[in-house]
Amino acid sequence: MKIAVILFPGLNCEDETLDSVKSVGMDGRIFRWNEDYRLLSGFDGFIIPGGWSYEDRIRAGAVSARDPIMLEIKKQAKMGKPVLGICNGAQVLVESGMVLGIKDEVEMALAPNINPFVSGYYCTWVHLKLCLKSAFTLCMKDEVIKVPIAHGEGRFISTDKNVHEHMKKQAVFRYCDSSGKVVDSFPINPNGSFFNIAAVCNKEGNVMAIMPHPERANYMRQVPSFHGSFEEAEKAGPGRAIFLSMKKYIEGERWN
Amino acid sequence: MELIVELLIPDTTAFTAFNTLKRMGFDIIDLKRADYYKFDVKDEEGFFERIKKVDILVNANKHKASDKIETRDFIGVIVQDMDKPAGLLSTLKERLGFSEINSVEKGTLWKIFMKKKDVELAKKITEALLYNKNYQSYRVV
Repeated sequence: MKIAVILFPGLNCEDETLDSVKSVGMDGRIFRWNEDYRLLSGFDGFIIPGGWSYEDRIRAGAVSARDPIMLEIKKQAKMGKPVLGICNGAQVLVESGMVLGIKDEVEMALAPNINPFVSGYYCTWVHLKLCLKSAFTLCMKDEVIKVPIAHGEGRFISTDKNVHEHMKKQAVFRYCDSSGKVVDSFPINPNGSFFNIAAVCNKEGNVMAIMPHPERANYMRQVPSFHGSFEEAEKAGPGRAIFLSMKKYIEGERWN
Repeated sequence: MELIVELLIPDTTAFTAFNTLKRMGFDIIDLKRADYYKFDVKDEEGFFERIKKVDILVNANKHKASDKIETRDFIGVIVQDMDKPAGLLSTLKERLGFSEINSVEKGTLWKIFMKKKDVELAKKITEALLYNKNYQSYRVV
């Protein structure tokens, strides 16, 4: 079971993302944007990690989304293979139109955060409420997980009211408080995202754009509130279920 | 009152945008970029000279500033976020003492150089790469 962690110039989370892939028993490697894209057909799934691809030139994710390699990733996604975009990877998937994936065009934006106290980049831990089963949430029950965010442009938004309905239906995770209550105000909603959306998928559920970083919550030692032994520190953190779900999906498990 | 701020040093964002557009099949000669500001001020006299000397918007070591867009050689497209620029007005008024500013707009001016000026092509280019309709607007100048 091989996962390609796609590396565009300027991404910087490829190592910990690949480590998360391997921590759930999948194999994989970092795949550079300028390699022969035909090799991608030999992989079972794809992750575009976080960072600043192409230095966020023009808009975050805009240049990578139009890179030739994305045409092959789109093709592989249409075959049902899972594609996960984390943070800048999510921005790439949104700018490529792979999510929401309704009309094969750019239907949303990840706009600059709206935050009453901090202009631009904002970094904190947030709670996410699971709202929808997908290839990346198969192993999760109705639950709230705590994961970190670190972005300046994470506000899911669309000017099209028809698209709003799809965004609501295809929202996988929403920002919430520690009890799971969704509150549409800062600090629960850290960036002003429409419908408190933190992650959204395509209608088939095999492509997900998520702004928080599950790979930074893959071990308990990464969780700030954790206090325990060395052995306990190496156990699965709250983000690991996303990678484990991806594995189960590739193995053939489904949510219906 | 408009303020156009261009880099004197190489603009890597413009290079990347140009290369991306060429790869997407758009036949253009060159693409340049500038920061665009539009001020509503009580008294314009002397404003341009004063605002360009403040290092917040213009750094004389790497920028050149002008107060008008001369579009003889290119089609200009101004892309702006629909949200107001956070904090810029208060910085200019409260920290730098420009009390005469009523409002300020910020955007990016893209200068599209073509063999023959074609407004419709400029719009297609803008919609294909230079703006996202879900949080930005654009106008041709």
